[in-house]
Amino acid sequence: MEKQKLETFSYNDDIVKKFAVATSIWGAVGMLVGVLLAAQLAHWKMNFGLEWLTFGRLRPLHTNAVIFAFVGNSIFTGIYHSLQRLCKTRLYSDTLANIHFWGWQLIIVLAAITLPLGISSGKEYAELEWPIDILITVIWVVFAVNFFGTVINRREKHIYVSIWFYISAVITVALLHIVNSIEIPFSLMKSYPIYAGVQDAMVQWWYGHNAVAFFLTTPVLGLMYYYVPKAANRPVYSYRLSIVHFWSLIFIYIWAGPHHLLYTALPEWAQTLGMVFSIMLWAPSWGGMINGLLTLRGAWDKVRKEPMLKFFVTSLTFYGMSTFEGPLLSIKSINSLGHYTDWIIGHVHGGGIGWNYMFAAGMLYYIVPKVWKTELYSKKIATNQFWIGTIGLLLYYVSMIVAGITQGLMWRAIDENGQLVYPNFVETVDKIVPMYWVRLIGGILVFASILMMLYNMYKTIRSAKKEEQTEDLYEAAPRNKNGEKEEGHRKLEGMPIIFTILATIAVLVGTIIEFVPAFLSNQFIEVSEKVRPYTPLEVAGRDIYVREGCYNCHSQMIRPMASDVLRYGKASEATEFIYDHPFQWGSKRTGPDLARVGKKYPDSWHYFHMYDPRKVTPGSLMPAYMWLFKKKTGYEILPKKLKVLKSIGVPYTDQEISSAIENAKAQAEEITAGMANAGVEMKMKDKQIIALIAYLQRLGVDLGEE
Amino acid sequence: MKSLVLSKFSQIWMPSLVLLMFFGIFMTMVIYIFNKKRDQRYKDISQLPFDEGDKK
Repeated sequence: MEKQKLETFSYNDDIVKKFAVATSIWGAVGMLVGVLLAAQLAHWKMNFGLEWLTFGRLRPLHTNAVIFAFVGNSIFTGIYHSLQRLCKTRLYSDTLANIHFWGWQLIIVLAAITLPLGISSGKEYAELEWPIDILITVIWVVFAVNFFGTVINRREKHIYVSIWFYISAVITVALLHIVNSIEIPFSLMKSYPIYAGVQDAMVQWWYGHNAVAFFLTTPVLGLMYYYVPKAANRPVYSYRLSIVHFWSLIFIYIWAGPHHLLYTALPEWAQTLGMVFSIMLWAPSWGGMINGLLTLRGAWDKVRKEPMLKFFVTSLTFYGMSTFEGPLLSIKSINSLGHYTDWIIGHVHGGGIGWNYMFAAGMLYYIVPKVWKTELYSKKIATNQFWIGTIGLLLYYVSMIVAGITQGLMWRAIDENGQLVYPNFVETVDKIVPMYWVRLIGGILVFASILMMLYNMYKTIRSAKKEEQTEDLYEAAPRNKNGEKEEGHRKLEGMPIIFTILATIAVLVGTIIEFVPAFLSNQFIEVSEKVRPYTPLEVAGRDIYVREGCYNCHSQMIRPMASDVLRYGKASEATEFIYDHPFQWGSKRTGPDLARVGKKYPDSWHYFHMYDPRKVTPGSLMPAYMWLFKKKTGYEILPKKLKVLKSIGVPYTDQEISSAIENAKAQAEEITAGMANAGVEMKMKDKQIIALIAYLQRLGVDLGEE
Repeated sequence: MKSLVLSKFSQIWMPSLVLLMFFGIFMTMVIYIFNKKRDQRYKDISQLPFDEGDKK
């Protein structure tokens, strides 16, 4: 009896079911938030005057929900389903799998609460604050233990290519998250990152870029190598190509982060390196796409009948398009046109909707009927979902490319006298608002398509017979089923630990080469004595700037190109950001750059602009920030903030720390008094708007126009 | 900015060396993997997703 027990096993599909349901629900939630954001950009009133619905606070919720909640849950669905079958064993631990599931959902709920409240670290795609960062680390470790435990327990000697991609994702995501999230708390929910300025930018975009690479791409490629052959009932076109694809992709991807920082104050050579490696990425990316599409050779007739294959083919096509467009946008001359514009938004949605959503939909249509042991409720709904989603995606993608190129060309247009043709920024916004409406229609269609999937999933699950929801028993293969001699890569694929170490080395090489100069930056960035730390009131104002997510629409980085300098002033220098914890360079200009906005307008201009942007700038899309005129500045915590900033290198004296509250109050009084002529009453001095004005008026003034 | 940084940071040998190493390892891997002798092996491995084990 005991012997028989040892020789049978069953797959844990309960965890697969849980993650599949979570994927569908969070996908719909993430896209609903996206639709609301698109509506706000088409018409500013769509935040309904509520602070927690403003673009700056909701955009991080949208990105986090779609990346970590929707795609995250879809990855876990596919990994838990395919890993067990490729390893011919049950998961290492059902308990760990459940902790992983509920822990991950808790993280998502915490994100959904904290981000609209403005509790944000101010770093794109890494906005969650320190307690949640710790929770993410713990839950990821739980996942990793279960994952590697299963791989080690496997009854199939060979580790199939999908698992290599999973391994690289598990290791690299842990590395990215931990390194980018090192921060010092100053309160229960707030912290400052230990990095500042150029270093922070370098670390953040190493993280940001590779979150795309190792969260949105690598594990999905692993899933592609499993589910596309399964759906087409044909082996992968070239297993050899998949080996070359894997090693070259993970080695090259990690280097490309600096392409997010072209023309910034990042060292020139690091920018060039990022550009070169981005272009090199064309080869492995297209190798993977071709391998996926050619897997369907001889089975293209099935694409007509089978909705999941339609999703897979479109997904791979958009993977190819996005991985062509990404390196294209990394070429400096093209980047100078496309960066900060909606072209980038179109690009990421081509990847996010085209590659990730389409793949997740195809995969769920494969997995859900299988694990619930039933038939798909409606192929017709799935097919309609596909077409509605695809039309929506195309409307979104094309409108954003048109908007981006239009605005980019308008920003750089210079007349024969050397002056900007469109000096008023809002003119360039007016021009693209119609495209924002087209984008909204596209977004609504994509959202409608995921609702159709949700309904189809629900009906499919409901149609499953309860009595059939038992685990099937399988005969376990012997641990060493064949004594055949292995060599080379084949041997390596039977050694998960060595394989993992080599994959980690491949990822670390690029990381180290790019990090060394960034961390030695103090040796080659000349620190100007004119650059002084922020005053306590400016620190308070800066934290409000981060809380409201201003970086989502405003950059703080003037590029060394004529059109930028003519519009915003002298190009930004690395030394200007040495006290910026976190850096706030931004990646999109829905509004103008703010790097040198300090002293450009009087205090009262900012005061009235924040209260009603359209009063000061007709045609502006910016929301009104009325709550800043009601809420009080938190003076009491300022000494603690300065103390933490001092501990990470900002040269505050003990005297400055101990007198932080008095100094802040005095500066607030001075600013408020200065606006008396404009009708601002002295009772406003303790309000948050005054602290924000103090910060905005400081931006870029240290070096001035020297 | 460009001249300022390049004049003070001239360790371009680092990425150049790694690029050369990458190219060397990459070519070795390609030659090894695409050796005709291993045709059957890779064919067998690519069948793995279709074997989910034998039901009892």
